[in-house]
Amino acid sequence: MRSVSPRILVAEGNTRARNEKLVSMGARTGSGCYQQAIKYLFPSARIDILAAADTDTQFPNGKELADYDGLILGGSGLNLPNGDDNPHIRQQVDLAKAVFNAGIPFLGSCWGLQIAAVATGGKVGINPKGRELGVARKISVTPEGRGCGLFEGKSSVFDSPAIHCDEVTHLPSGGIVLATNDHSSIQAASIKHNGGTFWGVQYHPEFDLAHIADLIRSYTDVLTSDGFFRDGEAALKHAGKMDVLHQNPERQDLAWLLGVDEDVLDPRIRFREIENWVIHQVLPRMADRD
Amino acid sequence: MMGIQPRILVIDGYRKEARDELAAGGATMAGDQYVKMLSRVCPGVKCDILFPCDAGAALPTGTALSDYDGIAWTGCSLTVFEDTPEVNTQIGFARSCLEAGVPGFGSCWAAQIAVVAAGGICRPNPNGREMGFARKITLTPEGRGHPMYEGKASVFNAFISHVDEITHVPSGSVVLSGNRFTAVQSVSVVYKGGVFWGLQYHPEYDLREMARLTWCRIDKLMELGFFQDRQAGEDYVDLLEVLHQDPSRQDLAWQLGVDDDILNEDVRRAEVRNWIERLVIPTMVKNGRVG
Repeated sequence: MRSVSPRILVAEGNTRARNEKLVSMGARTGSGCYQQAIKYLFPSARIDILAAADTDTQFPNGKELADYDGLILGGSGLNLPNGDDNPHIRQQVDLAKAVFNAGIPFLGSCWGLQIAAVATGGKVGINPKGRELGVARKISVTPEGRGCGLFEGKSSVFDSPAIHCDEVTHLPSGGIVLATNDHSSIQAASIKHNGGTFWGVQYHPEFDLAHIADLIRSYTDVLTSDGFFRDGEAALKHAGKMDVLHQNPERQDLAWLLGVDEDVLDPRIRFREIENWVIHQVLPRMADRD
Repeated sequence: MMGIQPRILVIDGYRKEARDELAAGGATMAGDQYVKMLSRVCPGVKCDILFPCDAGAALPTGTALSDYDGIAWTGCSLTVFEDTPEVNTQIGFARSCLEAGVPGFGSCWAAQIAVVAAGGICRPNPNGREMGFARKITLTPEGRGHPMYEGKASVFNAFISHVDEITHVPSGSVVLSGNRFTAVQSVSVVYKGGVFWGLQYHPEYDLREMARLTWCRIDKLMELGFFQDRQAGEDYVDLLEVLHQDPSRQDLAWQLGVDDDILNEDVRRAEVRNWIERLVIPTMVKNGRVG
């Protein structure tokens, strides 16, 4: 399995400006996190990045959608509620429609799930419970999710990294809720539409604690005013603990203090949905093409 | 539950020395924590506390087990599979409580002792000590349908502190919940006409009690790897105490990864309320003690 070479297009949901900020602070982009995850699982995968939020974007090396065995759309700092006219958003909705119409296996996390839902007639709103930050806890797989390949080998209850303030409020017809928790009733969903199949999660299996720490540092002011931290110093201190634990996963004292376990710390467990998507959706498509 | 006055026997299984050690660290005695919890859940409750480890322990003069409407057991620092007189006395007593047909409820040690009294087995948990918050406790299908969990979420966190666990439930008993650390987080024991609802976790604790217990055990917890040094332990105790004093500190709750399961007394004690409403009061009615 490690030698298979699926062609995967990772669409970057953030604009160039946002990514430049992340990179300047030493953080990875969202598409960079996905690239790393796919390479960890399938070292021979051929991965291209598409700057899906930039209006001057082009497919890499003259390729087109049909050249790929799967497309992934991850997170973004953009917001769908009241964002209908934003060209950075509209073109991502159009991309999602094209992916469904082309029948290319489609995976999304967070923003990717929201875009797929809106592209197929669903709705996204601001989560009345506020922002879910850091770790989405006590996510429960629904009976439908238990039967979906996305969660094969995954526990029925688990935690995963997360950061979002919007959520899918209405799935389109053809949508099925696969996982849920107290904060967000749709933590995972599948959508069948126009011959295409999408699997998506509201959380971020592609993020590790170091990336969550980077995001906390990049959004310190807004997170402090949201009430997650008393002041900027508390935010930096907390992010620092996440970094130390990421670098030293044997620090069980910190894992216990932060209330995280192997669901978050072990990439084989955290990436399980990504791995399952490649195995159950991407590789069959690849076999069809070859 | 207003106006109903169940008579409950609270059994505090701690030895005197262990009680004194916890009291010196500022913790409330386990029996008193139980009385306080029961009184919050059912204001009319009348409780007697019994210390079975103390020499000459006995029910109040003229009182029989069957005079009680419920028996509630606290946790304890003894080890249920050690063959000592203190343990054996309590196992025998638990059996008498079940045989008397008085509804039983209890946490941690109490669940273990009820299981052992009915023929089950407990052993050291190979995962080690589960401390602070038991996370992602998940109801079994039987738990979801059980009256103890009416109104409780199917997945929740709870206060916890234990090293032993239930490994084999006796026939007639049903596992109601579990998590990755501990396969049996709650159990309904049915034995010789008695029913006992046991939790491995502690609905009677609050953040302050967990802080004091942690403080009393800092050195031991350091040895086990929960704290890198004493300062880390003291910082953690402070964190719990500050959040207890000021529940509006949502930043601290978020940093600890805890929510209403831990912070909201009504959510945390749904099992206790259900025990009184669904087991104690019906038994009172059956015995002609109400209405």
